[in-house]
Amino acid sequence: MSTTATPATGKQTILSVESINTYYGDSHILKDLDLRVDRGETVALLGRNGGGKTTTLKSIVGWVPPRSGRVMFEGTNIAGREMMRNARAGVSLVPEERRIFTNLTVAENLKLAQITAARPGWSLDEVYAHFPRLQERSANKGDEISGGEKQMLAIARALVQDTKLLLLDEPTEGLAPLIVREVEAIIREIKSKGMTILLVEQNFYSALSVADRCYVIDQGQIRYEGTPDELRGNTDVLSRYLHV
Amino acid sequence: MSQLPGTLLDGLIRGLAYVGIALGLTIVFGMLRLVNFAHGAFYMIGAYVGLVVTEHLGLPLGLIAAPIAVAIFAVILDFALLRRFYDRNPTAQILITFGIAIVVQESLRLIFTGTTRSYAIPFWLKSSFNLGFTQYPTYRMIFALGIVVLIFAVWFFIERTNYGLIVRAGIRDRTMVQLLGGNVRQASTVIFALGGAIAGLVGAGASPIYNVDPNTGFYFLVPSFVVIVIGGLGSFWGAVAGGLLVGELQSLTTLISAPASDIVIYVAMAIVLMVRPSGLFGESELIRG
Repeated sequence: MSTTATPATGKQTILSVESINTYYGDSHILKDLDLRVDRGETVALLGRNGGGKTTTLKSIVGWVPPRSGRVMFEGTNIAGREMMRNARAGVSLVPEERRIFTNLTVAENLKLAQITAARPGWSLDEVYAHFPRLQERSANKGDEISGGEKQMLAIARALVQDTKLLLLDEPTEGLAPLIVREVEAIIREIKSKGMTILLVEQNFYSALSVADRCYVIDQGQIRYEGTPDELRGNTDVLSRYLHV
Repeated sequence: MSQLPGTLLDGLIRGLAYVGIALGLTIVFGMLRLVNFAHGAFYMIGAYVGLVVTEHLGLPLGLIAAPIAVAIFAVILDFALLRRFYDRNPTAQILITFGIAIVVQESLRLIFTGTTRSYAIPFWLKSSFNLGFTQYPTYRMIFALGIVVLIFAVWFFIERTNYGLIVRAGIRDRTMVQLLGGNVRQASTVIFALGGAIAGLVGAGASPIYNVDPNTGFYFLVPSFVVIVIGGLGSFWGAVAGGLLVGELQSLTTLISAPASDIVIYVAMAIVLMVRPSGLFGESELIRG
């Protein structure tokens, strides 16, 4: 069995995080956290700094393995599995710091992702068609490109692989407003091609403009689940957990 | 001054031997962040395996057997012991690898005794080559050429192959390589085996020149550490430049005072570290640093 049907939506669930507890040393960060992402859906995980958003993504990919609970991806419990195995199964994390290899060129960063992929995703031509700036910058080193270009490269690295679930950690953080619009357009484009996305954002408006559904996390627990419209109308949740 | 051309060539040969040893040290440090004091033991194992195989089957097979034997030894060592120390502090790494070096050295002394041994090389390799300005031993010329080929082969592997790309990325950010599905552990083992194989090959290749006894490993290891500190830890071309510099410095100093040749490299290291604390070729970057 590779996927399970969700009774509520009838859609196939690709990721189901079930009661995970994650710690940094003695600090209990995620407390019985549950969340679900259906295939083809874009889900936003919102919350204040230190609420556990990034830790949730790190727990899913195996970077900070949960001490208990399950992370079901396509019907298999991947909790605690090596990052490499999860990546090769199709779970791609674009981390907050982007982590471009600054000693490699843009083209080499993409080639590396192609080499390490279990199965190919987009071709280089497709990537360059969608990100013409990356083609212009292909011979530049990773530390010679702008923050926006780094973000595009980080996303493109995930796309040249056969990514089934794209985890984006604060993709608009630190970017100029114009570049934020560009990154949002890219996320919408990837989404329109059928990609499943779990998006972590502090930028509430940016996240709601692309998400189908959203969760609000606070102190390591999910406090709210709903559609962007429902959340926009819930002033209590907005003021209590998001300070909006 | 009639000695000068020969002395310069001797310095070049010694420098190239250092380069060969330092290359392995520097790529292992770059990829694994492992300070490997057992690297001299790799040179020794190569030298002795080469010695035995050369005695029975000739030098060419000795030069093939040595790197293979050391690569196998390195992989076993990595699996059994060293990978537990990759993320430990340098003191723990130095203690464990230094311990391994001593165990290997004393084991070789038990097997081969402490006497200095020399390789049985073909007669024609013992001849001299007329370079116009001086006569120079043919084997030394071939050794120099071999090391140059080795340098470019390693450069090609790291800079031009897919595997080398994973290595270069792993040097910068191991976690991100894993997040992209790259097998960092396997790449680390390959690099460790490659570093060992290079040291083993240089051990077998250099022994017809410098002979071999159980102390030779440390004799070459310590200057090789000076080489990578001068060149910049983890820097490929830094190891090459540092090796040649240290070899020539040692060799030229013998013209003035032979005992001083062991001191001068530390003086050079101190000067380089004062002027450029990260070495001649800067931060740890394998190729372009």
